[in-house]
Amino acid sequence: MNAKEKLEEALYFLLQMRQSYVDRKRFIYNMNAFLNAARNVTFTLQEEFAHDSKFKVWYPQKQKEMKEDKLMGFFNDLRLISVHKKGSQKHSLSVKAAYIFPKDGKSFQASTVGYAESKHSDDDRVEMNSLGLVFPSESGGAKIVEPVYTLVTDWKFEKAPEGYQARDILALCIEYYHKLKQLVEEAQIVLLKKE
Amino acid sequence: MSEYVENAKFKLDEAKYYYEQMKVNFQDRTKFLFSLDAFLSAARAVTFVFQNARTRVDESVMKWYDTVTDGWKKDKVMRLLVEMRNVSIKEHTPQMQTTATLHFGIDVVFADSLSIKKVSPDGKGGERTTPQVTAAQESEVKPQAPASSTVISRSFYDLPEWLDQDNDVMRLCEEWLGKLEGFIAEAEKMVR
Repeated sequence: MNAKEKLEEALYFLLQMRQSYVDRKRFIYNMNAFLNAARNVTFTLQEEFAHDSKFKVWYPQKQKEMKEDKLMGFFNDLRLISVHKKGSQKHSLSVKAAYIFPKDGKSFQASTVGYAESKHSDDDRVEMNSLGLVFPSESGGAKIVEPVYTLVTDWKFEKAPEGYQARDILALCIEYYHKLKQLVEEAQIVLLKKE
Repeated sequence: MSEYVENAKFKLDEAKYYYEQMKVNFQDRTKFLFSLDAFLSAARAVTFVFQNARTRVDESVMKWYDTVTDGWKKDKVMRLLVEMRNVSIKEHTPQMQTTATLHFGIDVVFADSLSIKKVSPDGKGGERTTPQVTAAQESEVKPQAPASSTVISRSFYDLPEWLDQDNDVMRLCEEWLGKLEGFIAEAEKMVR
Protein backbone atom coordinates (compact mmCIF):
# COMPACT_ATOMS: atom_id res chain seq x y z
CA MET A 1 0.00 0.00 0.00
CA ASN A 2 1.49 3.35 -1.09
CA ALA A 3 -0.08 5.21 1.86
CA LYS A 4 1.79 2.91 4.26
CA GLU A 5 5.07 3.79 2.55
CA LYS A 6 4.30 7.51 2.91
CA LEU A 7 3.54 6.91 6.58
CA GLU A 8 6.96 5.28 7.00
CA GLU A 9 8.51 8.31 5.31
CA ALA A 10 6.65 10.60 7.75
CA LEU A 11 7.98 8.55 10.67
CA TYR A 12 11.52 8.79 9.32
CA PHE A 13 11.33 12.60 9.22
CA LEU A 14 9.66 12.70 12.64
CA LEU A 15 12.69 10.87 14.04
CA GLN A 16 14.96 13.28 12.17
CA MET A 17 13.07 16.19 13.80
CA ARG A 18 13.76 14.67 17.21
CA GLN A 19 17.45 14.30 16.39
CA SER A 20 17.80 17.85 15.05
CA TYR A 21 15.65 19.58 17.71
CA VAL A 22 18.44 21.88 18.90
CA ASP A 23 19.39 22.98 15.39
CA ARG A 24 17.35 25.92 14.10
CA LYS A 25 17.57 25.22 10.36
CA ARG A 26 17.72 21.42 10.22
CA PHE A 27 14.68 21.13 12.49
CA ILE A 28 12.57 23.28 10.14
CA TYR A 29 13.84 21.39 7.06
CA ASN A 30 12.89 18.09 8.69
CA MET A 31 9.54 19.46 9.82
CA ASN A 32 8.72 20.55 6.24
CA ALA A 33 9.69 17.10 4.93
CA PHE A 34 7.54 15.51 7.66
CA LEU A 35 4.55 17.70 6.75
CA ASN A 36 5.00 16.88 3.07
CA ALA A 37 5.16 13.12 3.65
CA ALA A 38 2.32 13.18 6.20
CA ARG A 39 0.00 15.11 3.93
CA ASN A 40 0.75 12.73 1.06
CA VAL A 41 -0.58 9.82 3.13
CA THR A 42 -4.19 10.80 2.38
CA PHE A 43 -3.37 11.89 -1.21
CA THR A 44 -1.92 8.49 -2.06
CA LEU A 45 -4.77 6.71 -0.29
CA GLN A 46 -7.26 8.57 -2.50
CA GLU A 47 -5.22 7.91 -5.65
CA GLU A 48 -4.69 4.23 -4.97
CA PHE A 49 -8.29 3.39 -4.11
CA ALA A 50 -10.07 5.92 -6.34
CA HIS A 51 -12.01 3.16 -8.11
CA ASP A 52 -12.63 0.98 -5.07
CA SER A 53 -16.32 0.77 -4.12
CA LYS A 54 -15.52 0.13 -0.42
CA PHE A 55 -13.28 3.23 -0.38
CA LYS A 56 -16.07 5.36 -1.84
CA VAL A 57 -18.26 4.48 1.13
CA TRP A 58 -15.60 4.55 3.84
CA TYR A 59 -13.51 7.64 2.91
CA PRO A 60 -16.18 10.43 2.86
CA GLN A 61 -16.98 9.59 6.48
CA LYS A 62 -13.26 9.73 7.35
CA GLN A 63 -12.92 13.06 5.53
CA LYS A 64 -15.77 14.45 7.62
CA GLU A 65 -14.06 13.28 10.81
CA MET A 66 -10.74 14.78 9.71
CA LYS A 67 -12.35 18.13 8.95
CA GLU A 68 -13.91 18.19 12.41
CA ASP A 69 -10.58 17.28 14.02
CA LYS A 70 -8.83 20.52 14.96
CA LEU A 71 -5.35 19.03 14.87
CA MET A 72 -5.78 17.37 11.45
CA GLY A 73 -7.18 20.59 9.95
CA PHE A 74 -4.34 22.60 11.48
CA PHE A 75 -1.67 20.36 9.95
CA ASN A 76 -3.31 20.38 6.56
CA ASP A 77 -3.17 24.19 6.56
CA LEU A 78 0.45 24.08 7.69
CA ARG A 79 1.56 22.04 4.71
CA LEU A 80 -0.13 24.52 2.37
CA ILE A 81 1.83 27.31 4.05
CA SER A 82 5.05 25.30 3.93
CA VAL A 83 4.80 24.48 0.22
CA HIS A 84 2.89 27.36 -1.31
CA LYS A 85 3.04 30.53 0.68
CA LYS A 86 6.10 30.86 2.87
CA GLY A 87 9.44 29.25 3.51
CA SER A 88 8.26 27.93 6.85
CA GLN A 89 5.39 28.22 9.32
CA LYS A 90 5.01 30.85 11.98
CA HIS A 91 6.62 29.52 15.09
CA SER A 92 8.51 30.70 18.12
CA LEU A 93 11.68 29.22 19.50
CA SER A 94 13.55 29.48 22.77
CA VAL A 95 17.30 29.64 22.30
CA LYS A 96 19.99 29.01 24.88
CA ALA A 97 23.30 30.62 23.98
CA ALA A 98 26.68 30.03 25.64
CA TYR A 99 29.32 32.78 25.84
CA ILE A 100 32.91 33.02 26.96
CA PHE A 101 33.59 36.47 28.36
CA PRO A 102 37.27 37.33 28.24
CA LYS A 103 38.99 38.77 31.31
CA ASP A 104 38.99 42.57 30.98
CA GLY A 105 39.82 43.63 34.54
CA LYS A 106 36.52 45.55 34.75
CA SER A 107 33.34 43.57 34.12
CA PHE A 108 35.20 40.26 34.29
CA GLN A 109 38.10 39.71 36.65
CA ALA A 110 38.68 36.31 35.03
CA SER A 111 37.61 34.56 31.86
CA THR A 112 33.97 33.59 32.51
CA VAL A 113 31.46 31.26 30.90
CA GLY A 114 27.86 32.48 30.86
CA TYR A 115 24.52 31.50 29.36
CA ALA A 116 21.53 33.48 28.16
CA GLU A 117 18.08 32.30 27.14
CA SER A 118 15.88 34.22 24.74
CA LYS A 119 12.64 33.72 22.88
CA HIS A 120 12.23 34.56 19.19
CA SER A 121 9.68 34.54 16.42
CA ASP A 122 10.61 33.11 13.03
CA ASP A 123 10.27 36.68 11.70
CA ASP A 124 13.41 37.53 13.69
CA ARG A 125 15.44 35.14 11.52
CA VAL A 126 17.64 34.57 14.52
CA GLU A 127 21.27 33.79 13.63
CA MET A 128 24.31 33.18 15.84
CA ASN A 129 25.74 36.63 15.16
CA SER A 130 22.45 38.34 16.05
CA LEU A 131 22.73 36.93 19.59
CA GLY A 132 25.91 38.78 20.44
CA LEU A 133 26.04 40.61 23.80
CA VAL A 134 27.31 44.18 23.93
CA PHE A 135 29.82 45.34 26.59
CA PRO A 136 31.77 48.57 27.04
CA SER A 137 35.27 48.15 25.66
CA GLU A 138 38.48 49.41 27.30
CA SER A 139 38.71 52.17 24.68
CA GLY A 140 35.27 53.46 25.70
CA GLY A 141 33.44 52.03 22.69
CA ALA A 142 31.39 48.85 22.58
CA LYS A 143 32.55 45.30 22.13
CA ILE A 144 30.36 42.41 21.09
CA VAL A 145 30.76 38.94 22.55
CA GLU A 146 29.27 36.39 20.17
CA PRO A 147 27.98 33.04 21.45
CA VAL A 148 30.26 30.02 21.15
CA TYR A 149 27.21 27.86 20.51
CA THR A 150 23.43 28.06 20.52
CA LEU A 151 20.81 25.40 21.20
CA VAL A 152 17.09 25.58 20.57
CA THR A 153 15.39 24.36 23.75
CA ASP A 154 11.73 24.74 22.78
CA TRP A 155 9.74 24.97 19.54
CA LYS A 156 6.17 26.25 19.55
CA PHE A 157 3.66 27.04 16.80
CA GLU A 158 2.53 30.64 17.16
CA LYS A 159 -1.05 29.69 16.40
CA ALA A 160 -1.52 26.16 17.67
CA PRO A 161 -5.15 24.97 17.69
CA GLU A 162 -7.22 25.50 20.81
CA GLY A 163 -6.35 23.02 23.52
CA TYR A 164 -2.90 22.34 22.04
CA GLN A 165 -1.11 25.65 22.76
CA ALA A 166 0.98 24.33 25.64
CA ARG A 167 2.54 21.54 23.61
CA ASP A 168 5.70 21.90 21.58
CA ILE A 169 5.92 21.28 17.82
CA LEU A 170 7.42 17.81 18.13
CA ALA A 171 4.65 16.62 20.47
CA LEU A 172 1.97 17.91 18.07
CA CYS A 173 3.65 16.24 15.08
CA ILE A 174 3.80 12.94 17.00
CA GLU A 175 0.07 13.18 17.75
CA TYR A 176 -0.70 14.00 14.11
CA TYR A 177 1.42 11.03 12.97
CA HIS A 178 -0.52 8.69 15.27
CA LYS A 179 -3.85 9.90 13.88
CA LEU A 180 -2.61 9.16 10.35
CA LYS A 181 -1.32 5.76 11.45
CA GLN A 182 -4.74 4.88 12.81
CA LEU A 183 -6.33 5.98 9.52
CA VAL A 184 -3.99 3.78 7.45
CA GLU A 185 -4.47 0.79 9.77
CA GLU A 186 -8.23 1.18 9.45
CA ALA A 187 -7.89 1.49 5.64
CA GLN A 188 -5.95 -1.76 5.57
CA ILE A 189 -8.68 -3.55 7.50
CA VAL A 190 -11.58 -2.06 5.54
CA LEU A 191 -10.11 -1.99 2.03
CA LEU A 192 -7.78 -4.96 1.90
CA LYS A 193 -9.86 -7.57 3.74
CA LYS A 194 -11.04 -10.45 1.57
CA GLU A 195 -14.80 -10.85 1.18
CA MET B 1 15.78 41.95 1.03
CA SER B 2 12.11 41.29 0.22
CA GLU B 3 10.34 38.75 2.37
CA TYR B 4 9.38 36.52 -0.56
CA VAL B 5 12.98 36.37 -1.84
CA GLU B 6 14.13 35.47 1.69
CA ASN B 7 11.49 32.74 1.81
CA ALA B 8 12.40 31.41 -1.64
CA LYS B 9 16.06 31.40 -0.57
CA PHE B 10 15.13 29.43 2.54
CA LYS B 11 13.45 26.83 0.33
CA LEU B 12 16.53 26.71 -1.91
CA ASP B 13 18.73 26.08 1.17
CA GLU B 14 16.30 23.34 2.19
CA ALA B 15 16.61 21.74 -1.27
CA LYS B 16 20.42 21.96 -1.02
CA TYR B 17 20.30 20.29 2.40
CA TYR B 18 18.28 17.37 1.00
CA TYR B 19 20.57 17.08 -2.03
CA GLU B 20 23.43 16.60 0.46
CA GLN B 21 21.30 14.02 2.32
CA MET B 22 20.81 12.16 -0.99
CA LYS B 23 24.60 11.99 -1.33
CA VAL B 24 25.04 10.84 2.28
CA ASN B 25 22.32 8.17 1.91
CA PHE B 26 23.22 7.10 -1.62
CA GLN B 27 23.86 3.48 -0.61
CA ASP B 28 20.65 3.19 1.44
CA ARG B 29 17.69 2.87 -0.94
CA THR B 30 14.94 3.85 1.55
CA LYS B 31 16.70 6.86 3.04
CA PHE B 32 17.79 7.97 -0.44
CA LEU B 33 14.18 7.94 -1.69
CA PHE B 34 12.91 9.80 1.40
CA SER B 35 15.58 12.47 0.85
CA LEU B 36 14.67 12.67 -2.86
CA ASP B 37 11.00 13.28 -1.97
CA ALA B 38 11.99 16.07 0.43
CA PHE B 39 14.34 17.52 -2.21
CA LEU B 40 11.62 17.56 -4.88
CA SER B 41 9.15 19.23 -2.53
CA ALA B 42 11.59 21.95 -1.41
CA ALA B 43 12.96 22.60 -4.93
CA ARG B 44 9.47 22.93 -6.38
CA ALA B 45 8.44 25.34 -3.60
CA VAL B 46 11.14 27.88 -4.59
CA THR B 47 8.95 29.23 -7.38
CA PHE B 48 5.65 28.62 -5.54
CA VAL B 49 6.77 31.28 -3.06
CA PHE B 50 6.99 33.80 -5.92
CA GLN B 51 3.69 32.74 -7.47
CA ASN B 52 1.85 33.22 -4.23
CA ALA B 53 3.42 36.59 -3.55
CA ARG B 54 2.35 37.85 -7.02
CA THR B 55 -0.02 40.52 -5.70
CA ARG B 56 2.63 41.96 -3.35
CA VAL B 57 5.55 41.84 -5.76
CA ASP B 58 6.75 44.70 -7.94
CA GLU B 59 5.40 44.42 -11.50
CA SER B 60 8.85 44.46 -13.13
CA VAL B 61 9.98 41.57 -10.92
CA MET B 62 6.91 39.50 -11.83
CA LYS B 63 7.47 40.25 -15.52
CA TRP B 64 11.00 38.91 -15.17
CA TYR B 65 9.68 35.90 -13.21
CA ASP B 66 7.14 35.09 -15.96
CA THR B 67 9.82 35.26 -18.66
CA VAL B 68 12.14 32.93 -16.72
CA THR B 69 9.44 30.39 -15.86
CA ASP B 70 8.05 30.47 -19.44
CA GLY B 71 11.54 29.47 -20.58
CA TRP B 72 11.53 26.64 -18.05
CA LYS B 73 8.35 25.23 -19.60
CA LYS B 74 10.46 24.38 -22.66
CA ASP B 75 13.35 23.15 -20.53
CA LYS B 76 13.11 19.35 -20.32
CA VAL B 77 15.06 19.11 -17.09
CA MET B 78 12.84 21.65 -15.32
CA ARG B 79 9.69 19.99 -16.69
CA LEU B 80 10.90 16.68 -15.31
CA LEU B 81 11.31 18.21 -11.83
CA VAL B 82 7.68 19.34 -11.85
CA GLU B 83 6.49 15.98 -13.16
CA MET B 84 8.47 13.92 -10.63
CA ARG B 85 7.29 16.09 -7.76
CA ASN B 86 3.66 15.55 -8.86
CA VAL B 87 4.23 11.79 -9.00
CA SER B 88 5.78 11.95 -5.53
CA ILE B 89 2.77 13.78 -4.08
CA LYS B 90 -0.15 12.07 -5.72
CA GLU B 91 1.09 8.57 -6.43
CA HIS B 92 4.32 7.28 -4.94
CA THR B 93 7.99 8.04 -4.56
CA PRO B 94 9.50 8.18 -8.11
CA GLN B 95 10.62 4.75 -9.20
CA MET B 96 14.31 4.11 -9.62
CA GLN B 97 16.56 1.99 -11.70
CA THR B 98 19.69 1.16 -9.74
CA THR B 99 23.06 0.05 -11.06
CA ALA B 100 25.23 -1.74 -8.53
CA THR B 101 28.38 -3.82 -8.48
CA LEU B 102 28.06 -7.10 -6.65
CA HIS B 103 31.05 -8.73 -4.98
CA PHE B 104 30.93 -12.53 -4.91
CA GLY B 105 33.00 -15.12 -3.15
CA ILE B 106 33.08 -18.50 -4.94
CA ASP B 107 33.86 -21.87 -3.42
CA VAL B 108 35.18 -24.28 -6.05
CA VAL B 109 34.71 -28.00 -5.39
CA PHE B 110 36.35 -30.59 -7.61
CA ALA B 111 34.42 -33.82 -7.83
CA ASP B 112 37.59 -35.84 -8.42
CA SER B 113 40.86 -35.75 -6.57
CA LEU B 114 43.24 -33.11 -7.84
CA SER B 115 47.02 -33.15 -8.06
CA ILE B 116 48.86 -29.86 -7.77
CA LYS B 117 52.54 -29.78 -8.77
CA LYS B 118 54.71 -26.90 -7.64
CA VAL B 119 57.63 -26.01 -9.87
CA SER B 120 60.24 -23.64 -8.41
CA PRO B 121 63.15 -21.97 -10.30
CA ASP B 122 65.59 -23.50 -7.84
CA GLY B 123 64.54 -26.94 -8.98
CA LYS B 124 62.88 -27.78 -5.69
CA GLY B 125 59.32 -28.80 -6.22
CA GLY B 126 56.53 -30.62 -4.58
CA GLU B 127 53.35 -32.36 -5.36
CA ARG B 128 50.10 -32.47 -3.40
CA THR B 129 47.01 -34.48 -4.10
CA THR B 130 43.69 -33.41 -2.61
CA PRO B 131 41.40 -36.15 -1.31
CA GLN B 132 38.38 -37.04 -3.41
CA VAL B 133 35.19 -35.23 -2.39
CA THR B 134 32.59 -37.46 -0.83
CA ALA B 135 28.91 -37.28 -1.80
CA ALA B 136 28.09 -35.81 1.63
CA GLN B 137 30.64 -32.99 1.17
CA GLU B 138 29.33 -32.30 -2.33
CA SER B 139 25.77 -31.85 -1.06
CA GLU B 140 26.97 -29.30 1.50
CA VAL B 141 28.08 -26.89 -1.21
CA LYS B 142 25.50 -24.13 -1.56
CA PRO B 143 25.42 -21.18 -3.92
CA GLN B 144 26.66 -18.08 -2.13
CA ALA B 145 24.81 -14.81 -1.81
CA PRO B 146 26.75 -11.70 -2.85
CA ALA B 147 29.12 -10.75 -0.05
CA SER B 148 28.49 -7.04 -0.63
CA SER B 149 27.14 -4.61 -3.18
CA THR B 150 27.87 -1.00 -4.05
CA VAL B 151 25.33 1.25 -5.76
CA ILE B 152 26.98 3.10 -8.64
CA SER B 153 24.07 5.05 -10.05
CA ARG B 154 20.37 5.69 -9.60
CA SER B 155 18.17 6.73 -12.51
CA PHE B 156 14.50 7.63 -12.87
CA TYR B 157 12.57 4.66 -14.21
CA ASP B 158 9.13 5.87 -15.35
CA LEU B 159 10.18 8.61 -17.68
CA PRO B 160 8.08 10.77 -19.97
CA GLU B 161 8.60 10.03 -23.67
CA TRP B 162 9.90 13.52 -24.39
CA LEU B 163 12.95 13.11 -22.15
CA ASP B 164 15.83 12.26 -24.45
CA GLN B 165 18.81 12.69 -22.14
CA ASP B 166 20.78 11.07 -19.36
CA ASN B 167 18.34 10.42 -16.50
CA ASP B 168 20.84 9.97 -13.68
CA VAL B 169 19.06 11.30 -10.56
CA MET B 170 22.07 13.01 -8.96
CA ARG B 171 23.03 14.75 -12.21
CA LEU B 172 19.46 15.97 -12.79
CA CYS B 173 19.07 17.21 -9.22
CA GLU B 174 22.39 19.04 -9.45
CA GLU B 175 21.22 20.69 -12.67
CA TRP B 176 17.92 21.71 -11.04
CA LEU B 177 19.80 23.19 -8.11
CA GLY B 178 22.12 25.13 -10.41
CA LYS B 179 19.17 26.66 -12.26
CA LEU B 180 17.33 27.53 -9.05
CA GLU B 181 20.49 29.09 -7.57
CA GLY B 182 20.86 31.25 -10.68
CA PHE B 183 17.20 32.21 -10.41
CA ILE B 184 17.53 33.30 -6.76
CA ALA B 185 20.80 35.18 -7.41
CA GLU B 186 19.05 37.10 -10.20
CA ALA B 187 16.01 37.77 -7.98
CA GLU B 188 18.26 39.12 -5.21
CA LYS B 189 19.86 41.54 -7.66
CA MET B 190 16.46 42.72 -8.88
CA VAL B 191 15.04 43.54 -5.46
CA ARG B 192 18.24 45.01 -4.02
